[in-house]
Amino acid sequence: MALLEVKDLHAGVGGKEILRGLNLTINAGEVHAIMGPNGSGKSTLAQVLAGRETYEVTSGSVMFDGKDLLELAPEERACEGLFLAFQYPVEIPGVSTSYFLKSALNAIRKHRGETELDAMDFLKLLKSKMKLLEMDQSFLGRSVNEGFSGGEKKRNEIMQMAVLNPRLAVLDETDSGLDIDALKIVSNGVNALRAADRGILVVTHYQRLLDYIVPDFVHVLRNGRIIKSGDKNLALELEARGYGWLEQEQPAAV
Amino acid sequence: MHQTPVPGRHRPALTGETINMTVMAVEKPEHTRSLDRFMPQRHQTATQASSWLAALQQAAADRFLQVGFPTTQHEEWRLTNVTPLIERSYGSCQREEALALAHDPAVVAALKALELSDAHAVRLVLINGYFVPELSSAAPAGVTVRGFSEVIKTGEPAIRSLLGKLALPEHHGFVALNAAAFSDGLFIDVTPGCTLLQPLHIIALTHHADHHVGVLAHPRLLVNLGHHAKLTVLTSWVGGGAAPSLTNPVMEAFVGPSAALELIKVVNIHDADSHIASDYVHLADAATLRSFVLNMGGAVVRNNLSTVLDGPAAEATLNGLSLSRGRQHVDNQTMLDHAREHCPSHELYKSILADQATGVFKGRILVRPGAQKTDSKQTSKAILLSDEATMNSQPQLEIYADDVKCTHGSTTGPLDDEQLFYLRSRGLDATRAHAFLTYAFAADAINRISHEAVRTAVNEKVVERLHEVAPG
Repeated sequence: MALLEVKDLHAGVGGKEILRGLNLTINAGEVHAIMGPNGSGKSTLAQVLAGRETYEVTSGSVMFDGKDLLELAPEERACEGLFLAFQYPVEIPGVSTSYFLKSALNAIRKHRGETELDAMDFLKLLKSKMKLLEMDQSFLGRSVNEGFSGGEKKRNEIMQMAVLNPRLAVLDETDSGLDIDALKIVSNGVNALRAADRGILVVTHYQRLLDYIVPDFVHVLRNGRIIKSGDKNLALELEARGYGWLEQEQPAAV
Repeated sequence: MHQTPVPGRHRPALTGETINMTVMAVEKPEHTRSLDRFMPQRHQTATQASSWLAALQQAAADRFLQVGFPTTQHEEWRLTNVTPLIERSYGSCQREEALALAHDPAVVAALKALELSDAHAVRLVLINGYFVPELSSAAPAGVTVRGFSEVIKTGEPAIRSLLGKLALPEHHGFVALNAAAFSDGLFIDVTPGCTLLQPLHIIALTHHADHHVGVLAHPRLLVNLGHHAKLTVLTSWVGGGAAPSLTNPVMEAFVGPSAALELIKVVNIHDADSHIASDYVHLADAATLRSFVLNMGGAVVRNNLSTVLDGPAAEATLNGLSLSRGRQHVDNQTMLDHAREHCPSHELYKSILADQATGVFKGRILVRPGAQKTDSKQTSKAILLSDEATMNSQPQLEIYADDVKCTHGSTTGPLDDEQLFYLRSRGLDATRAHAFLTYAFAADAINRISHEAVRTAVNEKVVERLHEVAPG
């Protein structure tokens, strides 16, 4: 059984259709990349998968580990093992990342029927994951994303992913706003989380990230549908030739 | 200022001049009686006090007779109607009665509930405005703490030079009434260079032996910090019973050169009670004020906080948090008077309003000529948890210097959708995400309290209340 199976997904916002019949299958252990120009629907796909209510799904289906994902509230999706690394993580002044993440992890553990982690065990786990993302201890006490640089926010997203240990991680433009050093750190973090029982979907505009997180499959999204799929070489071809050459091939879309 | 208020016209005008005239005519005789109603112990005080104080109180009484209580026709009181508070009758409380309450089980229980767990606070208890030494801790070294009535009798010279110098009866009727009517309170004096790590915890309790009688109290507080002194004062306003009470405290605080005062005020009175406070702070060269007010209880709560930055490099940080529900009304009025150059000031007032609660924030900033390099930032933020809750936020900037930076901002609305989604996408359900964000909003203000033990205590109170206002 596939980990994620998206069939003929149509979704939009305010009556405007953005995803127009998207099909995608991700198996456990695979890393998929979705590339596409601005406005192709990349972020919409990420948000729809996570359950953002702003977007309306008009038809199609999404099965996640055998469950109807579209029937689940955002928090239920998280508890079932879906994780979205946001393109623009919001700032939440007033509460520390560690307090927030402990609440989240324990909500998920509770859902799974596991015992909640106490403060000491959680701190140990958090510190090990912070080390993975080369994050300073001072992050512990700082409010969630407040005053973080773009790079710090992205690192914080991947650190959260490492703590929450999802079955499917969707990374929405995790490379945007990162300098080369931060890109390497973030990529190392993601690569450390590659696992046989986990799927990863990388949504990106640029091929650059895929030098570090090497995908098993690359898909090109245009006008709300996947118009071409291939292996990592497709990304290199896109980098060299741009998206324009695919226009002619569009009828051959999956 | 504004038009001279008509004596005794404490009811909002109905319609038309004729009716106003009628109201005036009818109310004028009642007005004289009202002074007795609101300051029953006046005669007694006047006979005991020294002559300068008697003169001060008489002048304040005269002023009160002239102006009466503010009405919603005064711009400063437009959004807070005190008429219902002053039209009802209150019971009086004499010193002996207040002191006798020290052994009342309800009082003992109330005090116990307010103990700071790990702060080793210096406890100072006021019951209905009277200082109760029997329930209070001894003052630590370097600090003088005296009941006002005692100080007045012994004629402390500091009192005469400070009392009534900031809180002028001209400001409004409540200040005038307090000055005319107060007969006790606290005088706190910190010697120069003394740093007090323990907070002073003033517990101001409203209580009447007869549960069905509301109390009217006019506590008076005077705080003086010598140069380089450091002090934290937590004031908990608590109590009340079945019948509505009204407290009308006035505080004057003088912060000497390079001294630092942190004031934390918690208004946690009974939901039927009201609280009209007028606090004044004077900052000398490089003196700092850090204040935090937490409003939780009360029917009508009004906090007037007026700060003069009267020396170069003085700094004022004013923060506040209101958690209101039901039909509670909370009005925070701040005045920052930038009288001298190179003074920063920061203000952050936050409100969480549920049900039909109403909130007001008015932040006045006056930058006087010559107060160059003033750097002032004012922010007011409100979360409305219900469609029927309202918040009114007004900045008022008056700038008479040219090289200054003054910013203000205000937001009011429901919880942020993006933040909610972020939390839910991490596994917190909608109810918990709401509660979490509401707490985060509050904590952002609470975190600005410097004194750690006080911050922890305030945080506990807020968490407790939020479980009621926004469960999760």
